[in-house]
Amino acid sequence: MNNHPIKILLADDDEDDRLFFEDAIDALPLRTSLKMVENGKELMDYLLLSESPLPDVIFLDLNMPGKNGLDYLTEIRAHPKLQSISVAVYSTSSSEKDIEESFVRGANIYINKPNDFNDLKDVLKKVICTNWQYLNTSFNKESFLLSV
Amino acid sequence: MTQLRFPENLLKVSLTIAIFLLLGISSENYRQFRSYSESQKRIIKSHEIQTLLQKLLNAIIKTEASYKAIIVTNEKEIIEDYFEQKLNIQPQIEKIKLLTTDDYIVQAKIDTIQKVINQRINFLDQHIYLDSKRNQGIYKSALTSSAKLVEDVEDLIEEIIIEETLALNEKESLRDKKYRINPLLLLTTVLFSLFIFVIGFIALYYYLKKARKTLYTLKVNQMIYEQAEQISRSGHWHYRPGSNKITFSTNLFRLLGFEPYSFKPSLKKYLDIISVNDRPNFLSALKKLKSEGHTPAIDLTIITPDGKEKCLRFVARLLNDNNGNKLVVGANKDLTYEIETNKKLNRLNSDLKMRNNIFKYAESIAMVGSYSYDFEKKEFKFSDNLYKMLGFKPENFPPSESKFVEFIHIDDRADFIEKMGLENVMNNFHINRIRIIDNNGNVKYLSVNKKIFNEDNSKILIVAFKDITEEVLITKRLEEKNEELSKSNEELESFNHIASHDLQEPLRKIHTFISRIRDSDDLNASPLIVDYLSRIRIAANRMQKLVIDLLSFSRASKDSDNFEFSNLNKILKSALHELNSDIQEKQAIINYDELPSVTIISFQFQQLFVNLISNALKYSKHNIRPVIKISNEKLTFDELLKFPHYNETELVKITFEDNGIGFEQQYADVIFILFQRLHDRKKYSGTGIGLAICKKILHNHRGSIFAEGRPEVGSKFTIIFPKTPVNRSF
Repeated sequence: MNNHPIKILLADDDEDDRLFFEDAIDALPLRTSLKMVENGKELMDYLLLSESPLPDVIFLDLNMPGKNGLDYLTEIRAHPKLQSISVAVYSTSSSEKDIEESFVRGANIYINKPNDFNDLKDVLKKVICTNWQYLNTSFNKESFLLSV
Repeated sequence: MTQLRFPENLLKVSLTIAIFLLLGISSENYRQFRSYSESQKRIIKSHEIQTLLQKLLNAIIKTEASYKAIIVTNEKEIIEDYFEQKLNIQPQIEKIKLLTTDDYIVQAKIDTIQKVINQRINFLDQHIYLDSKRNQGIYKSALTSSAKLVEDVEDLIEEIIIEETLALNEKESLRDKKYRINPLLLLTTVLFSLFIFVIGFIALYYYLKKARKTLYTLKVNQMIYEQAEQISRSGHWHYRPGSNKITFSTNLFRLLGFEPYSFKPSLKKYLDIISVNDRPNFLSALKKLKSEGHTPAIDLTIITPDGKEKCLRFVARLLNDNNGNKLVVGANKDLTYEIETNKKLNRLNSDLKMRNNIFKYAESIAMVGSYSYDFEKKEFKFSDNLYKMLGFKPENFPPSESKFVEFIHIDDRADFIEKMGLENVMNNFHINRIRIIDNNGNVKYLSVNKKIFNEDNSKILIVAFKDITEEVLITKRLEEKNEELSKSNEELESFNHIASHDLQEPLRKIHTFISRIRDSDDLNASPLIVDYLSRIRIAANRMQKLVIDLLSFSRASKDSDNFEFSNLNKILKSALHELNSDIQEKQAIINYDELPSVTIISFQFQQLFVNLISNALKYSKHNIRPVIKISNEKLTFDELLKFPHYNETELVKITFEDNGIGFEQQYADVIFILFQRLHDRKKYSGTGIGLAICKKILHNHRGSIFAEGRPEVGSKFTIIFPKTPVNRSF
């Protein structure tokens, strides 16, 4: 842990989910700074246009209006400035196809939105505390889907 | 054949001349002979007359002498002598008269002589008895007149003799003259006749020689003719109108069924041989001979002596021979062979026609057409159906390659000409699909085959077309359907997505909110509220499970290409692994056989195994340890019958038998229906989707599943499926 708060960016169109996410992050005993956007376009605008520093980890919902989350994942991974940011897919979907596709397009981890608030806290804690730089070298498909 | 022309007229004329000449000569000779003998007679007569005249003169002189003697002597005895002499005169005159009856001049002179003599005699008779002396004067004058008389008679006789002699001489000189001419004439005539005969003989000789030659040629021709008649199965006859005599050629006898010349031919006999029905035909044909000079060719049935029927063609013609005589010549030809041949030919022909029709029919049924090209004849032929395929009536236009190319869609022409054209001598080309635009503007799809045949020195190109429009349209429709299907698949996908995301999301939120309420510190919840919250949670859970199960059901219906060769043992093991906690919880005993490796969609089979085993665990009896037996069994005969497309070795049968609560056999089919449950939900949890998914999975693998149940004893689920369900058309 260093002195800087972990910069977290959430892209989710669902207000409830953003509320749960914010509460869960707040409830974690970690120094974090959370920025939330409501869609993919806002996400890209924030990443590329704002003066703000780039986030350490992006939580990306797949099912958003307009462009699909996966498309933005591709964009991020294709952008030289953004490609090193850790991306956690954060979705209700448990479909094989979505998981597979996320993996292929370069997400670091896939999180099924949990049913229980406590579970959510646990998952987020796990994700945030992961040293992605280290994990990147050895991550594989089996450990891709994070379950609590 | 040598022309036999004899110089008949010439010979006739010469012969006639010769005969006339000879006749002339003969008659002339005869006449001359006759005239000669006559003149001979005349001469003799003339001499006789002269002798008689001489005698007469002598008699007169003797009478005169007697008379003179009387006068001189006057002796009476001499008178007797005178009378005797006088008697000689008259017969002489009579004789002369007789001889000269045709000579009136001599007669007249004789008459004169007679008169003179008679006068003298009268005178003498008167004076004979006178006395000479006394009647001197009388005697004197008598003597004088006597001398004158003798003189006169002498003169007259002389005259007659001279005349006779003259006439005789004249005649003789005439005759001599004739005799001088005759021999020359005779000789000339004889020579001429001889010449004619010689010429005639020579002509005749050559004619004979020629005739012999001609006769030989004629004989040869006759033989050839007979042979020709036999070969051509024909016979001839001829007859002279009026003569009633008919002549048959050798082969005509044979045609009529007789030995040659075995009977005397006659019109009646000929008519008798013709069948009764055809006789009127024959007779009416004969009648036309006179009016038209020939009969029409008619076919007659004849009955041969052995009772067989034969068909003869008959024709007759009225001819004029060289001599201007009329001659009827008839010909008969045996048509039996021709009719047989014709019949055979007709049969073959109709066979061929039939085959052709069948071919044409088959062509149109099979929607096949073709054209051929004969390299030798440089000739194209289109089959009837090709015309029809192009929207024309058969043979509507002269066939050619270029004409056909005109119908081909412009984009397909080059390919067609390159592969199918005459320039390309390579054999056996195939084009899957060309487009043509027919006469009515319809686009048709054809597949094309080309083949070149070399047969009997002739080279024939055949390009055959099959109308595949329907197939192409069907394929197109199928493609459209496929597209629709993939669209609806996509829709299904989105349903999956909905089920997996959108339907779950509110549920998840309900759960999360409940958990937040439950964990909320500042909530002083009454036990009632806690109970309600718990009930809400259970309902939401159930809803979530339903959604997840429906999702897997829809995934099971997905037409998947994921068939792969899989080891069922492995799949079973991972299914058991998945169910591990349940198995542990129920302390179930699971026995299983070695299972085969098969080509299947493995994740579906894992789901299948999980569903069947979890079913067995779920419906186990309370307080009795579940025993599940998984067996790989042989198919029974009845089961095999349900899979007519496979044999025994191609099928796999696996049974799942448990000792659970079982079910009434009447429900054996119902349990596989979606959302159908046999039991109270409180007692046995479940969505009623699991077995429906099993059924669907087996359906996807062209297999089947069925259940046997005995309440309180257990259930047995049997799955049968082919080892490789793909690549089989049904």
